[in-house]
Amino acid sequence: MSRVPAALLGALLAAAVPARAQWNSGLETIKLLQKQFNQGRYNEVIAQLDSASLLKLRDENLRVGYVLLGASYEKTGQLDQSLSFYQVGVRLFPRDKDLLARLAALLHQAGLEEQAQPLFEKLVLIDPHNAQGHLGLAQIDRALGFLDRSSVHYEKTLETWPERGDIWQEYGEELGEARDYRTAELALRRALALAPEKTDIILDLALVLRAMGRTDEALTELAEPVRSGRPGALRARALWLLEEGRGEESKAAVEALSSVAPKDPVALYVRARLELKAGRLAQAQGFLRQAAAASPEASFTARVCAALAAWAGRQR
Amino acid sequence: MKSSPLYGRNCPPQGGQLDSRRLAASRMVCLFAACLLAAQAAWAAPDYSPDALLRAHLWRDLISRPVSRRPKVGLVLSAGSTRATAHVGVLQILEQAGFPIDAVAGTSMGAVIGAMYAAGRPVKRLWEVAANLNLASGSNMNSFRLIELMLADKLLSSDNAERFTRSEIGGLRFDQLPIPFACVAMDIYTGEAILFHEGDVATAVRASMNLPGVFKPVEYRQRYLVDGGVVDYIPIDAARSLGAEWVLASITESDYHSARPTSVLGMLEQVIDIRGAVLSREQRQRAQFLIEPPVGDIGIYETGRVPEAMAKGVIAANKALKPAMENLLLFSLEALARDWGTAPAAAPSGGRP
Repeated sequence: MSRVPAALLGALLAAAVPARAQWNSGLETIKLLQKQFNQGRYNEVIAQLDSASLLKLRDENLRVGYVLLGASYEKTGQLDQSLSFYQVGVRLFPRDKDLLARLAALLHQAGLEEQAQPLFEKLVLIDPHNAQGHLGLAQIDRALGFLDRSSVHYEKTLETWPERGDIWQEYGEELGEARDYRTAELALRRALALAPEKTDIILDLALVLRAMGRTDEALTELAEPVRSGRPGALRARALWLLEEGRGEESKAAVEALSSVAPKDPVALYVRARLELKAGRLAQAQGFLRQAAAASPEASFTARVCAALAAWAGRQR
Repeated sequence: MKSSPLYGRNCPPQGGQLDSRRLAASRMVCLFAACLLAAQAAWAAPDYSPDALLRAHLWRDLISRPVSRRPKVGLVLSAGSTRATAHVGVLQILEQAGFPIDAVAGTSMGAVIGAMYAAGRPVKRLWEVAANLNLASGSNMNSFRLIELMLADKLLSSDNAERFTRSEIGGLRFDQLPIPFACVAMDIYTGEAILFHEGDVATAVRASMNLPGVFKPVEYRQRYLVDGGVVDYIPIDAARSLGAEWVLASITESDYHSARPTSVLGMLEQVIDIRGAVLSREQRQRAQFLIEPPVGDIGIYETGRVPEAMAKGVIAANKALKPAMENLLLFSLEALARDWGTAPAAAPSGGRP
């Protein structure tokens, strides 16, 4: 080897040693910080990763540093700080799926859908199977009313996360909104199989079955929430029995509801409807007035009951 | 490969090899990310509030009834050229929700969309048609004709509009439409608003969207007809003439305050928009419910922004859907209650759960 290349090689090796040492020391720092993060010591992570320390990190360590700092701020409720660091992180690592997903999720949680949507779109562009990206887009599309597109994104999400009961539930609800009740039922039953302890899925399923006109099945699904005295389930049972013209059962359901929630406006409404059916307008009007008074002012229930009370008064 | 904390147990190694230290770091990040993800994907609680249950209960009752036992619902689609393609988005949401529509009235582009919907064309098709809209749609416009229009005062023909409507809905007459429909044009010699609710639909639609100053007036029964937007931008009365008792109007007015037209056609559009807005002030009061997609900044010739207009229609209508349902239910209460004393309000199915 001639002298010049040997000298060059020597210089390069000499330069690489401190760089390697610095990378190793950065990795040690990151490991320590991750340990602290996992132990919930978020303020310590923040204190150690002030901007000066962050700048000492390189490459992958720097990327993880931004993730840790943003997540720590997020955990301590300092969302604006978290947002700032995720944004800088995304600027430094524009194709990093993790940082993109975190920034998009944070914006999405804050309701900043217009800012979140392009980030989720970028995620699925980088990785067409990116479940977090598809889930974000599914939720945004659902909230905006693009239900067809939302369904597609939920399906893509579930290809990656087929065991996520919460996503099957969301998907089922979305299909219910799109009035695709049969598929909604299947999705919700899948969610229930994955998370049988989640009563909310049963409530969703009951709504879908009722919307399909399968009232008896819907009432059967409600049995357990009714037994455990959930006012919502008791309300639904009273209303659905009324709709079916099963007056006596509806009356019994109202009694059960009233024992849990004595001034529940729906219980009073159902009582009024039963009085109307019996031709007792004065009693109906009384219940409707009580229902209107028991509902939050200007709520839909209050307005309906007040209008019906006035109508019943005119009929007397 | 970068670690992917958000993917929890699904963080797959993608391309490249990880050294053991980076892998360890990635795993640790995965751990904390799984916790974060769990926090983000909260289990949703279905809405069993009194308002939600009562709304669904009354809605099932309403939509299960024949129109003779509930108020007749009219949908009004305003004029607005390219902006009015937002109506397609509005229709998509209404149809998605199973909103009853018993009569449709439209002016200009609202008439084109309304006629297709009343003829039973699926909203998906309306979406496709609108997405392919360009300046030559509905006219014989090309560079030569445009020069003729500018230099020789030779108006364009809107024959293509009629041909297009006929290709979509055939030669249907108004009385053959599955949903009653009416549209409005203006007699350029008398200034009268001409209400179409009988005869050939395609001819009426062409007259309704026949922009004055650009297209030749359509000669029809000794009248010379131009775009109805000049006299009846939001044709509420047309819907009333079809028996609509509760009217939902989708309005796509221009925000002419911010527009600064620099061309002859732009000026013409501005004048029509201002006139339309002035006339529509009173009409707005006569509708029971308004949906106004924010498309005021979209110009008449900006056909490239049609997808944006339709998307804005979807978003605006989706936001307005629940209040619109509640408004219609409150309006319908007496009609519903009249039957409650005698028969159960059983409803088999339908509506959002």
